[in-house]
Amino acid sequence: MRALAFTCLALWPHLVHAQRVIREHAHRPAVSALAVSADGRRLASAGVDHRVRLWQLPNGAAIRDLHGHRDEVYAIAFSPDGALLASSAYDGAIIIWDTKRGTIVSRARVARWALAISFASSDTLVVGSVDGAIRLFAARSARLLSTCDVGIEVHGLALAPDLSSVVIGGPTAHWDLRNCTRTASLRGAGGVVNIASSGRRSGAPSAAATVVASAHLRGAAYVRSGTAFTVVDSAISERAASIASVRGTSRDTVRVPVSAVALSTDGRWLAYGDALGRVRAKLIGEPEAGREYLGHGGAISALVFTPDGSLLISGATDGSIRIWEHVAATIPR
Amino acid sequence: MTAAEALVHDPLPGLLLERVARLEQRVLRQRRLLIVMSLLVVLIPTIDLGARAVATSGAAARAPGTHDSILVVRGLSVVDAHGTERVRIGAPLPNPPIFGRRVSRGEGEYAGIILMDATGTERSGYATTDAGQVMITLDETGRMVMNFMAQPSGGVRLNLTDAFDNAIRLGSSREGPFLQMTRGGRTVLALPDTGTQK
Repeated sequence: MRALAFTCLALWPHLVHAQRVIREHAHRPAVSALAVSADGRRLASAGVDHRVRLWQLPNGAAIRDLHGHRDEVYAIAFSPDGALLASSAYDGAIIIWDTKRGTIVSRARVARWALAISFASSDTLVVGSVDGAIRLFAARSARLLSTCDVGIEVHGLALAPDLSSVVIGGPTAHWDLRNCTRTASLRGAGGVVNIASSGRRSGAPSAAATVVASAHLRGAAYVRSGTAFTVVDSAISERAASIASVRGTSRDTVRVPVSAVALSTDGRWLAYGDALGRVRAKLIGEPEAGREYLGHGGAISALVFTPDGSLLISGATDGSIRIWEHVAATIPR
Repeated sequence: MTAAEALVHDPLPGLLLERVARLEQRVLRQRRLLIVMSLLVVLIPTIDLGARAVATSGAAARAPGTHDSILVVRGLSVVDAHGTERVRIGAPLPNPPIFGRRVSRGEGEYAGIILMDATGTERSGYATTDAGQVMITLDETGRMVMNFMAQPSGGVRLNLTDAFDNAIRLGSSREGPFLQMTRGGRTVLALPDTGTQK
């Protein structure tokens, strides 16, 4: 079966995919964020309709809607154990939800709105906001633990579990949240990250890690694998998705702005969506291996892989969510 | 004398005939008067109503103050059939939406009008700033490519920037006109030569 899948992928890279589930009006008018639980069995979506919704995976059946926000919701994240879900809205409100009961566990607030949110542990929430600060909250009590002023608007973040490093977007930089110090800057023209120099800098995170950031800033992820950084940059204005790693830098230039990116948990697949609603997935390091997922009627606004890489889920500005069969798990290493 | 001759020579019947004729004329005049009066009864209210309607509409068009037609709001949003906001008039204007999320417009407040594309992403604006500038902008998705700005100090400038580090900047200020062309991020023309960007 694996050999067959690999053969099909090699011969017809753009044909080996299947659309599994469509939710045409998951949000109105636009989907703004997606998140998958660590067990890969639940999907959370957020929209400009002030709603947060929970769905079953892989079938896409609705579980429940979470009501509590009064403004557009821009970021969501599951806790590692899946018991909590955090969401942030344009009015600065942050709500931590009990995913089983659908109830509000706690509320927090930031001065401006947060576009990046992630759990460092099951009870520590990291919030990157447009006011230029990264804040740590105790998730269940919403108590502010610390504030790290990074001096730039935080549009995306990816953090190591021990908080030794956090990669933030626009311009991308490493920070050590334990003592709030900048450890490395990833700077380049037009948002293209010069990963080769930053990865070797003293003080950069040395743990075995692959760090993924999106520079214009459609989300970010932190991936443990290998000993090198991999940075994915999806500067909208660059009209390209860039991959930089010790294996070399590659760019996949498209003719329309890249509007969302995602990296598979194993760090091998890059997916990106564009303003015309197309989703492409590339096997990093193997430019010929890729596929295209078509069907959305609006720009791709959110992308996420399931942890096992079997599904790729996309959300768009037309309010639709599509769940695609993705055979990453069957591709031999 | 015949009977007819008798009637002719008798003054009483002639007098009667004359009176009958006068009465018939009077009846005819009164009938005409009645018809005229009836017409006036119908026409006068109609003409009055029409005149009032014309006068009202004309007055409304000429003098809005007499019928308050000014809508006082802080913002106005126009959405398309899908519910996506396509036009916003506001004071202040909201932060720009890009693919479903709002990013910061920067310091200060803007008032004016912005246009969004079918994805809800801001693509153009015509606004004033709290700092006294007025500008017209055109954006590609997520990035401004044209900015035509008048400064409160009297200067004016036009910036054209594409997605490939090519740009044209020109304008004029108290120090004089200037022109700069950039290709791939490198300046290939700067006028005046010794001048700096104003």
